[in-house]
Amino acid sequence: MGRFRNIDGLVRWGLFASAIGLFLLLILLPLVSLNQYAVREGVGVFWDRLKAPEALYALRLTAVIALAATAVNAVIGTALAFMLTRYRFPGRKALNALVDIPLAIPTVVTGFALLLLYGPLGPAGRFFSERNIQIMFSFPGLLLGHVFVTFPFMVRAVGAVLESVPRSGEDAARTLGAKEGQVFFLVTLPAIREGLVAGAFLTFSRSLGEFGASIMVSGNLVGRTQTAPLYIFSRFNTGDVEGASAIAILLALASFLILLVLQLVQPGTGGKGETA
Amino acid sequence: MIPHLAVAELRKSFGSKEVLAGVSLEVRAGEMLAILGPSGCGKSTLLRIVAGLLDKNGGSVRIAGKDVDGVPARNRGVGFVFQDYALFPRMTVRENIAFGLRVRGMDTRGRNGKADAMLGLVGLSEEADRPVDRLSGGQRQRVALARALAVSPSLLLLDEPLSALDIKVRERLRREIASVQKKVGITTLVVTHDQQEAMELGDRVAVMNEGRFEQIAPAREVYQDPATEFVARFVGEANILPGQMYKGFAYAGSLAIRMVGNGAGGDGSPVRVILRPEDISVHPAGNGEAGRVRAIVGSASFLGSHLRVELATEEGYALTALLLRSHAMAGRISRGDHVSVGALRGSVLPDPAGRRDPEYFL
Repeated sequence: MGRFRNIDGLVRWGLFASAIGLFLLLILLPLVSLNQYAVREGVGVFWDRLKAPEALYALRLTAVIALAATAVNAVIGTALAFMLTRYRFPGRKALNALVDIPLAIPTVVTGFALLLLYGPLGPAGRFFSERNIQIMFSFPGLLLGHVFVTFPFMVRAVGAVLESVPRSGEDAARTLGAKEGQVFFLVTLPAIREGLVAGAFLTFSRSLGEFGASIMVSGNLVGRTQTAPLYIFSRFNTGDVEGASAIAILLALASFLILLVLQLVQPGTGGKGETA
Repeated sequence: MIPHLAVAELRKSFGSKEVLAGVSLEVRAGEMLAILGPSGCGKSTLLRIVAGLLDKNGGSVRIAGKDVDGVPARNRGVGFVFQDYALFPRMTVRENIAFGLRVRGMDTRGRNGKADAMLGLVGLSEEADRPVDRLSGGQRQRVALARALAVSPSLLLLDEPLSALDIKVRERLRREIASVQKKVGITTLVVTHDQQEAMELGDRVAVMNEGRFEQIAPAREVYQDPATEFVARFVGEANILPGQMYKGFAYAGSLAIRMVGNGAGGDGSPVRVILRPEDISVHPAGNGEAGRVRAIVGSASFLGSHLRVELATEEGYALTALLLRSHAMAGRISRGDHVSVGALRGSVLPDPAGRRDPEYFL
């Protein structure tokens, strides 16, 4: 086809080659080596490491935390997205900007701040411990950290869809006799379903890999507050590379699957599955 | 008889912008009133306040004699049809129409029966089970109309119901809306910026500008005897000239105009004369009759059924005339021709700023 007949063709080929090269170097090779380490001692060892009680506990805790964080953010994230798009009030722009703060602050700093506030020495921590509620180094602390870190995803995903849904549908429902609850559940919710699903997947996958905040607020207690990413870190530090790799492979696989599903359910993000 | 809808001294501001400056309006039971005005004049805001979708800043809204202040939209018994149809996208045609009955707790059989009756009314029985996003724009708006009527409201509000549609569909649907409204006999308020739509749909037309009503009257009166210069210019085309009253006629220079409505004041009173382009007669130049003015043709454009002629009069003002294609002059008039121009009829507005000059006629 004479692809190299002009400079343009060369440049295009060069760009293409470097993109492939970077992909190999930065993404594929690490994944391959991860895989190699995981099965270095044989598939039997990989399987044993996966089935270790602490590993299973860490995986289960990770899934539970991710689900809980997704559920919490589905409610408060949708509510906030609703406020930001459907109402005009003083401070709306400031609030809108604040939503993205969890993306900007290093997660370790988030965790540290939560620790200072809710920890044994913090004012909130003392308030709760006097009432025999422990926030830090337990499930509530982890959930708090994960909800905070993943907060923007649901707000943004739902907000983007809400922006494109005209309010006249809701108004029509009102004039037809619908109460506000019916307006929300029969008209608004079906209209923002795609945003909710996309937001849920993003929140869930972000929570799966959460490390910085988790390590600060959990105390990394094996079999109690140790999530899968913390487990990987601990295993590696004690020299159990196979154990770390086995769980790492699983996490990578899970994230990949989520990405795949997200591509399939979300229209308009490229690919041929578009239905607009 | 009390009006079915009575709006009194209604005021609304968005921030510092006053959108409704104290408007009053009464609609008789069974009447269709068209609110006509340019975009941003406040007509849609008025409709939304009547429906209870927007709060007012002052004034009152009474439906069937009852003040609806504080009554939420769902309890006002008002049907609303939106410009963008506002159908529920994941539902079928029938589900859309039955929605209002569903949220009021009617059982499936009852509401489907009612929905099918409404579908018959708007001629969409064949489409009952189709998802609404498969319908054409005209079909969608008919579904929206049926949906609004399904809950048997006492008042129907149509907010620019046809402006998202193609011209052909628009004209057909306009007639359908008019016939459905007459059949159901529902008191209706329709908002539009299209004067033809307003005149065809409205038993009366309310012309609105900058948050006020300029005139509320039957279409013929609004057109033939506009209450303000804004109405004259917004509804149809108008030549507006300074003039004076004399013996029941208005005179703009030597051009004599017979009055359609009432004149304004006695002899010598200064007025603004409103002349519709089709009320201007064009004659061959020559023995100039009394009451006519000599003019030169600036341009003559063929518009199909009409010929549009721009004229420069000897007395220094310009006139636009519309001649029917069958008019004797239409075939042979062209730029630069000398003609004699008369006025068939016109109306006047008092002109407080005008010069009172009785000597003029002596």
